[in-house]
Amino acid sequence: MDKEGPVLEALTRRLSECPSDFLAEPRQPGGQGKVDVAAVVSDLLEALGGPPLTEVGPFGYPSAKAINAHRNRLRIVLVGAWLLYAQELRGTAEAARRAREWLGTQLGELSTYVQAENLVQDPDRREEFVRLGLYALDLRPQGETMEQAMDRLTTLSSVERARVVKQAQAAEARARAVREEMARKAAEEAAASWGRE
Amino acid sequence: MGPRMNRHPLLDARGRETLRWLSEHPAAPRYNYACGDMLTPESLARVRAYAAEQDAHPPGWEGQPAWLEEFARRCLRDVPFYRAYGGWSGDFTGLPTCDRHDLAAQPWAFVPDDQPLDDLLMYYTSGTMASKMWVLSDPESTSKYLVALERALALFGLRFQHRSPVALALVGQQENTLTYPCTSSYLDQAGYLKLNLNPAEWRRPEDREEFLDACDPEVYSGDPLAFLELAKLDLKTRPRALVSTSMALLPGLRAQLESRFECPVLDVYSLCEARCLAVDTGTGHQLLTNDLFVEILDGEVVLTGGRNPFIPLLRYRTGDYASLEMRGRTPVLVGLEGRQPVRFVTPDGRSINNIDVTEVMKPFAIPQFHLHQERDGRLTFRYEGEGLSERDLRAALEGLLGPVELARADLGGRKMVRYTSDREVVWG
Repeated sequence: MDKEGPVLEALTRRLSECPSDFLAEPRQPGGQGKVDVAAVVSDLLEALGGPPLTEVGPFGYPSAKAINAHRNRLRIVLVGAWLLYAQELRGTAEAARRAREWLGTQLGELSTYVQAENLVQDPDRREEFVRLGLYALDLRPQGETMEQAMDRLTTLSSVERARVVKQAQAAEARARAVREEMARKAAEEAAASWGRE
Repeated sequence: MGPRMNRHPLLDARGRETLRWLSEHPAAPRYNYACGDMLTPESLARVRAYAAEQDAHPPGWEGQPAWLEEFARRCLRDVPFYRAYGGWSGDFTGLPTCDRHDLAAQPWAFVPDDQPLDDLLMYYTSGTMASKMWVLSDPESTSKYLVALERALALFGLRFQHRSPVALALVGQQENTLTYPCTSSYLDQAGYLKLNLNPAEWRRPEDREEFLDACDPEVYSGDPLAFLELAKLDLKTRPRALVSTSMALLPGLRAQLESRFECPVLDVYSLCEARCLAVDTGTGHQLLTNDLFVEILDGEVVLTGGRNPFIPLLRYRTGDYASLEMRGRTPVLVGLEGRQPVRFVTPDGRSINNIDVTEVMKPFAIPQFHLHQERDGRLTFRYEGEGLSERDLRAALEGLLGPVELARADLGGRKMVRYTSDREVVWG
């Protein structure tokens, strides 16, 4: 975060205006879906000033059976690609290298707890995602010191982590409640079934 | 089984009398269970509203049904299993699919966050494969089965007329199954029976005829094996329809049953996860209710929607195969085959798919069979059924496949996969 990047608000606004094409369904091995994520990323890398992709790698589904596991991550890659397409971020091969690294290897964890559209719709998630993107490019928002930028990113991330932990606890409590009710009702009488499958 | 507080909240004097009569009839079987419809005034009203809704808006769509997007969005937001997919992209056909293995592994993850658990009921199913599974449901969606059944009957110009003590009898021919008498408040307190025709379940074997004639069910429901057993009984009464479920019904057996019982035999496509879905009208299985959307993916029937609030289905792969024809706005499943297509290889190297085998089996009144190919190419055809000409059967099979070993076998009366092969192969 040595270098100063664009104004934060310019990028959060850009994110809030993410076109529907970047939230569309990633293309699947079976042909379903709309967007070729690898092609989008490749174009981005060239626009940033680097070489295009030579292989699909982490920017496509590894197999038709892995759609559930990778869908949200690939959708987040698309939103990330839209963010980094910003005119203000273009110009160096180093930015392209860092963008490829971020989009290809560092969005997996985020995808386990944030849905792609929340990165566009939720103001806090927008800010966090912009800061993560800038951090990945080794930039800090214009007008902030390194400490301020780090501090704000940490705060946003920890608030989000706390929210996610709370959400996960609620989900687990609900799953437990359903399982307990299932166990209780399994020992009880059911209603007439009227037919056989 | 522990008792529930109230198994018949709406039982009136007439229903009570019917229930007493069914329970205490001298020829009644030794019932091994007791249960009711558990409907309250509120849930009964909702079942009736559901029936009215089906009358007003029969199943059908152009492109996709209007409710589909909102349903998918709700699933992605409120159902833990689907939430992990990662949100709505605006493209329904790009959403991941799921199947019975997902549901069996964590049924609780399919229950929406806001679904109350008070009315939860649990049903156990063995399924076709080894995948035993608990199915979650509630009294309201369970009784909605009857609405779908009424719609199936209506397509044959039939409806319950309540002229007999019993509207519906579900018969089985099994070693062991739950049996009980019941009444339905949705069917105006008409009687319902769940029976096992296995003589061991009755005080005297001849009680079966006496009791069934006394009950005079308007409709019998069951699988083809149970109907073959029913056909052996010397019944004086005649139902208005037989409703066949659970196993594929070959046309030969269907014709034989229709002649024996002098009534139509309805072949209903039903799944534990979505229950009564469609009925064969002669040219395919027509969808019965408007709360299901059907797609065909790689030949497989894939469902979205459903009437069970504990199992909202979002692109659920059924494991059954068919093609979908839209006749006007009406969806019809054509060539419905249970389970994944299997190819058999003949000695001269030709590849024969199981649908062709079903085709040559159509004239035969076989309730249940299993064709298997070993890795070395040997074919074994095991079947149940009486009065069949082994010579004709062999001629039909060998004309298609080459040499086949035939063996009569007790296939257990359970729904089972009809075709398997150790030589691989399934359609890619």
